[in-house]
Amino acid sequence: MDPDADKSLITRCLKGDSLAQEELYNLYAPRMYGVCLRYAKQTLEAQDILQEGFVRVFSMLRQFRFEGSFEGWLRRIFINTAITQVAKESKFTCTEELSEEITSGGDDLEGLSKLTRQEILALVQNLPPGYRAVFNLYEIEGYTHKEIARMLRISESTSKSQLYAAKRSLRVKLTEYRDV
Amino acid sequence: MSEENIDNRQRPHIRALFQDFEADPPPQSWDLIRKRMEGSTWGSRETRSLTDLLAWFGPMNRLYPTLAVAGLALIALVVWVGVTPSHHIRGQAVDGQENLVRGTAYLFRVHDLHRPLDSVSLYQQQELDSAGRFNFKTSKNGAYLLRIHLRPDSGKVGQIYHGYYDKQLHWNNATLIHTDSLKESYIVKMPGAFPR
Repeated sequence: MDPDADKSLITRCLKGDSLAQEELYNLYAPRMYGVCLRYAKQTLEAQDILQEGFVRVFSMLRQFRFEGSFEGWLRRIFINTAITQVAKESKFTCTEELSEEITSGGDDLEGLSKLTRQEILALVQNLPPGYRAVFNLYEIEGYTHKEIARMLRISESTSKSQLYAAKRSLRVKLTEYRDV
Repeated sequence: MSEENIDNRQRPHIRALFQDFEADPPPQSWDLIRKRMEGSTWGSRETRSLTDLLAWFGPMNRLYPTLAVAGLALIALVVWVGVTPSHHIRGQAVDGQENLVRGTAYLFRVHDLHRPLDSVSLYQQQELDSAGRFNFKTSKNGAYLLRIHLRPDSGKVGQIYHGYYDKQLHWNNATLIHTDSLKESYIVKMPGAFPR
């Protein structure tokens, strides 16, 4: 998106221009809805996150300092909203603390690269909430375990364990998917 | 780059797939968001004014001078309230054993104690209550003259307490009150006097 166009649009939104607000929504809703779908188990949950996220965005718009990418700022709000929403339904705890040796093991999801986006999305959505959140944050957003631990208020080792468990679960689902 | 970060970037395929992933949101979503914003405090004029105000104070170069001025104003107010005297001049108008209830109490300021009667000015007045009581509140130090004037239906028409002379106030029979910063309350006794 063009930063100047963003700035102009945000300025209009801050002045209470409802048309500008709708314009901003139309511009970013599809991409943010994509984020919501990754963190939610179902479409209805994703819709809730989308609504909550935009309400937060408009209420926090004054805090945007035009110092970085507006889309990046939006994405962080939606990720935080999604995490909060998912956390209401589940605890980000792992029942099994796995050894460092296991959790730092190599890549075992080569099969994913052969799937389409919709197929991967379906697999990710079927993961338990905690696994799904860590998988998204680590594999797609690119956060480190340290950052994820801070965001989810868990330990780094729990984050690693969740990721390992998510991969294991995906591998099982991938096998089932191939068999079908 | 740490081992963790290397691991984190092993599947560019997945990340590339989802970085720009877009999906059409449900058509009613915007209406629901708009309604939520209208229902929430975000949309209200009052809160907008408040957020505008807070935004104005956002830069520190505005906030600190404003806080300093507000602090000084507060200190000045506290000092002013502290040094401003508050006096109560109260009492009861009686004639012997009889309470004088039908009348008005007048409080005059005396500007020149050497010529009190010529220099007084009416400061406050109030009706006597059912027991003949009056209670004036003043914040100015100085000399005051108190006068009770009875109504025609009082049975003591035209009499002025505590001078007791018809339609005329005699200074040497008047009650003169000097207020100062040390006392808050002045009880004025209006004894029954004798007509001369």
